[in-house]
Amino acid sequence: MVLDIRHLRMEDSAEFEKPAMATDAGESAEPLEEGMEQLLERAARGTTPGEQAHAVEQLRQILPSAEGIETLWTILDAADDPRRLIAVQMLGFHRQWLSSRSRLRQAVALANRERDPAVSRALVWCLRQRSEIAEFLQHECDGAAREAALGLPLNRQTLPHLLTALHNGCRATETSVDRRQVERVLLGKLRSIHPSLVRDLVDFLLEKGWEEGEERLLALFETLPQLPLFEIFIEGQQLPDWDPQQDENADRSRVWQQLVRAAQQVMESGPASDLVRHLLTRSGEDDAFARHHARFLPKILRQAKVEEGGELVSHLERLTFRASEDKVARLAQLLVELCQRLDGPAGTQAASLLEAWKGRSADLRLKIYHMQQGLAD
Amino acid sequence: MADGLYALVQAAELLALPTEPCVESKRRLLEEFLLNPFLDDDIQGLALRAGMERAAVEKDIAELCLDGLLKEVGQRGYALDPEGIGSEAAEVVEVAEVVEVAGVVETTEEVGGVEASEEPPSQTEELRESHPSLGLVLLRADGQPELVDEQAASWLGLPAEDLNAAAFEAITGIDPGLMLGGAPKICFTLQEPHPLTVTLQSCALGGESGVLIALQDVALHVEMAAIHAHVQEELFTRCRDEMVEPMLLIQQFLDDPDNGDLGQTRAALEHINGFLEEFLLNSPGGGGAEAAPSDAS
Repeated sequence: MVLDIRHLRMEDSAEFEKPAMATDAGESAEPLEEGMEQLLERAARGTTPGEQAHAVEQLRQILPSAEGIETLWTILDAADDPRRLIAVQMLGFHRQWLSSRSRLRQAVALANRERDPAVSRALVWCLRQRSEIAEFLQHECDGAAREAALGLPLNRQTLPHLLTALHNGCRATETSVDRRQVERVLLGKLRSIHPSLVRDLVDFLLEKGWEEGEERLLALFETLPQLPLFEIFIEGQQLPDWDPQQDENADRSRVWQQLVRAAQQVMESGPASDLVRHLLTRSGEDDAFARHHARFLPKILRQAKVEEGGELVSHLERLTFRASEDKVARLAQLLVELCQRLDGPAGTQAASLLEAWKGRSADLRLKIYHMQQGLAD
Repeated sequence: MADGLYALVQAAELLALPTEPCVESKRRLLEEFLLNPFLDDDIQGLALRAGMERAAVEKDIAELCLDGLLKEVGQRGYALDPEGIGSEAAEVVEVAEVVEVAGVVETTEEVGGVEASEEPPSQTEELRESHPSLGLVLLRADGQPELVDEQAASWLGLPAEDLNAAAFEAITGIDPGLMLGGAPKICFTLQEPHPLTVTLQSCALGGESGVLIALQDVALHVEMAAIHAHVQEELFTRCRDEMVEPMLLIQQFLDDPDNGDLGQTRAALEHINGFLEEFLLNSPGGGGAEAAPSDAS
């Protein structure tokens, strides 16, 4: 049981006339809704901005009853009511009505046919973090499209909409500032995509293709987590229902090659730290892996962020604690590559580690020496 | 609510434009709350919304809270602060009155949701005096004026009634319509017909796009710069006349003391000392002679 203290907060703001609040209790619904309407009136047409802001503050604190929500929908339905924008923004703030499927459908329909850009934008904002918002990514009103991008939840259902919007946005010959903002927001959203969704994204791209050139594709891939990109495109963990070697569809094979090139380029030009650590770990553990990616690994290490050098050297040190000579030898080759790019404390740390490894055996000492002289295979 | 308030706060910011160009990021954040005062984004959401780094948003939000324009609500949310917005708006109403005093020609009854007062209070005179070098023009999306400061019109060499987007473009070569797409603020200087710094910025006018043009009179700056340049030029000319030749004589003596004329060299040194005393070493109290090197020797 929780003590309801909302009314105490309301008492604090006593500068303006206090309207009765709408609550779920429903004891005196009529005067309560009247209070809310007064506040809406004040927020929409107050004589001073301060009064308007006070009214908005109280509308935020109110918890509207079912009747209150009904009132807001009624205001929204009245095309010439000046309180429409405030009403829809309030509906977006108090979203208990979203549990009703019919209300949700109504909001989607209204957002689709709304002519007022501000109301349209606010209606789309009401749908934030709902999958239904995805259909507004290409809305003719730039503000609504921007709200759709900001409120878009990333999941299997919305990902195709996002990619289509990015693709079509790129195609537009005259891209407005707001549309570019939509693109920026969508790319920003992709930075936090769950790794498991990358496979779906690749699947979609394979299906629909990408006609907008390498540069745009690189911009898209740069936002994605690199570990799943590596697993799909480099390590060859194929998509579940498709094998590029067996596919007779030339177009899809072409797209696949395009995607592989882009993924490889993104990883080689700016490898993420989690990818580098993963590669070091796997190389130490698995000789076949290290051999298979013998060309790729040095390229990655040459581009690894120098500022993370110390951390990588520490990671190598942990990996080789009581490790076999074979494992140390495999990792030594990578450390020698890394060592060439490091200076300062990280460089000293890397050189010390190499010296420590050399001390393990005469054979290892010779191997590392050859690696340092560039004489190793 | 949002549109009127938004226009007012923008107008207030406009006054600060010449001195506070770094206000842009805070303006963008505040704009989001003014467009939707029910916004419930956290810092991360606001960063995505404004296209800014999270740390920058944190800093700007903290400053907006300190300024009393925003306040924290709940655990991670923010909202407009009615107290701060109220006082800010009061200031802006006064500013609007200043514009009225300056002789604003209004084409509509309302400016930013606030009706202009018919009789300006005496306080507005003080405010008008505190911003004598600023002129404002508000243009609608169709290029027609929403509000024209007569001062601004006169600086541009036009009657206030004739000032619109086309006339502005003819005078400055810049089409205000370029700003309608939400383009970044443009700032440039103008020498003719009057020395001005001109700032163009997109804004909202009753739910539609508009363009705010701020004109700052820089005639005094130009005059000061000219005087400064003249004084500098005069000093350099005197330096050349009074110092170069004597220095050459001294140099010749030092290069070949056996064949040099000591008396002439001493005279050259005293000439230089005299010049330095006149321009640089004389103290306001007239004690420059005591500081002169010749006296010291």
